[in-house]
Amino acid sequence: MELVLRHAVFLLRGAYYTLNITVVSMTLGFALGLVIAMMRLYGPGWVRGLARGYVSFMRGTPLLVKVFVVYFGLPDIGIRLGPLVSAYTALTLDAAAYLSETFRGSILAVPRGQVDAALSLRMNRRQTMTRIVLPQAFRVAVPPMGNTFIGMLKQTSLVSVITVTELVRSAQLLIAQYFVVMPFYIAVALMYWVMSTLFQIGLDRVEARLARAY
Amino acid sequence: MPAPTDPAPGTRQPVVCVEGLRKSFGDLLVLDSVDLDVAPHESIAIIGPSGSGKSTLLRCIGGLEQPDAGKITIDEFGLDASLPAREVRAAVRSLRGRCGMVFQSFNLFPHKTAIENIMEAPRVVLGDERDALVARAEALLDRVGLADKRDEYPSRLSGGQQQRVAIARSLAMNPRVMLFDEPTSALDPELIGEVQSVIRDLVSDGLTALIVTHEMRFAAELAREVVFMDAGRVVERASPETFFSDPETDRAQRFLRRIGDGSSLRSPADAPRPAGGTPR
Repeated sequence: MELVLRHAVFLLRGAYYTLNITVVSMTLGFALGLVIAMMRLYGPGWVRGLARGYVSFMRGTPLLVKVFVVYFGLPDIGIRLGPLVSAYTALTLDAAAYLSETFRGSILAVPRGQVDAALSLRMNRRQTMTRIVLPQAFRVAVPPMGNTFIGMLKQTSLVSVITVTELVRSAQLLIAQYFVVMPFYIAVALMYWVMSTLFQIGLDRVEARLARAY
Repeated sequence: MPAPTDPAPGTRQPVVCVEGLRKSFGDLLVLDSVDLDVAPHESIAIIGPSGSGKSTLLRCIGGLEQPDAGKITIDEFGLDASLPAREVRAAVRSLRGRCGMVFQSFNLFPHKTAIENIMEAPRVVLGDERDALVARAEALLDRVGLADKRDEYPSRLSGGQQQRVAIARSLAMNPRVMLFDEPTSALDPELIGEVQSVIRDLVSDGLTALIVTHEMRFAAELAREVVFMDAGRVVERASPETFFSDPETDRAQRFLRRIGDGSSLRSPADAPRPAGGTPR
């Protein structure tokens, strides 16, 4: 136990990387997911097909394989990304696929009459989307987004295999040094739990705030 | 708050002029060569069986549907469906500002308060200044009798109150003509009166309005003219007195018989109403 405490700073650094990768990938995945949802909802036929293919492929392949492809595979075609950037890339591509489906569903859940009303008030397509449809869609999207978010927090452990010293790899390094397993993994598990709980609380706040009008 | 339509006394140049309007959805021909003129300050009730194209006509005039053929002119501004597609689409968009639409299901923005609903479009579309806008929105709310509901979200308002806010929201864009698409059809019977009386006040202040309604009595009291549509055509147009007592066409006679004793106007069968249910 005192081993864990002695190396708390090291473990916390690992936790910092876990958080960092989660937040960066989630933010980028959010943006990309929104773009893909728009492509799939409003694009011309081939754009829709492209978006559908993307979602199908990304959801149908394991994250670990994507991590390997980005980190070990891309150098073959001359694209060399560092471990951290590879982690961002693989996780962003993955999250975007799931989030785009969440967004698509939530946008479709906004009644057609809302668009009619906005258009009849002379708002253009963009204003209608950003000021009327998306705020309402976002409210519906928060709970499933929370799932993706917390899922991603835990999925980041996979990037330990490409030498990103996030939480799990921090623990593995310490274990290799001391040949003591249990305390480190227990500590890591608890740290994940605390982080997910904090996210959950944050998401609940967002949800409550958005529900004020309803 | 001035009436949204210019007085322009003496001129009877129509505000809205529809010629040969045709619209289909797939194989279904919904509007089959519709002609319609609306003079300034005129209020026209559009009635007819369901599926006769009333709502589609309104949505075409309001720029929410693109007609397949025909012309729509509002003031000197025109849409001609025979022009290239690009120009037609642009014309459809610019119809939108000229008409205010009121929908059967209100369609207030649920994430905005009553006053925010009214201020939204003038602010983002016209770029109106906030202070002036607040005053104008408050005046509009007052006009529909809801000054005290200024900061309520739509979920806290009754259907009738929501529809009145929706009317104020449309008026905020200073439309040349207001298009009411069955404004009271989704309301509980006891809430219909408050909405009808707001519309009646606006009309008597000189609003130019097209009103699709199933409330025959409302149509009779309110409108200067009644337009009867059936199967995508305007079948008959007459003053309410003439239309309800002595309709010219067979189809109108059948329609009035079917919905109840149309000539007496006392008991429209499709809309049972408590007696005197429309207080002024």
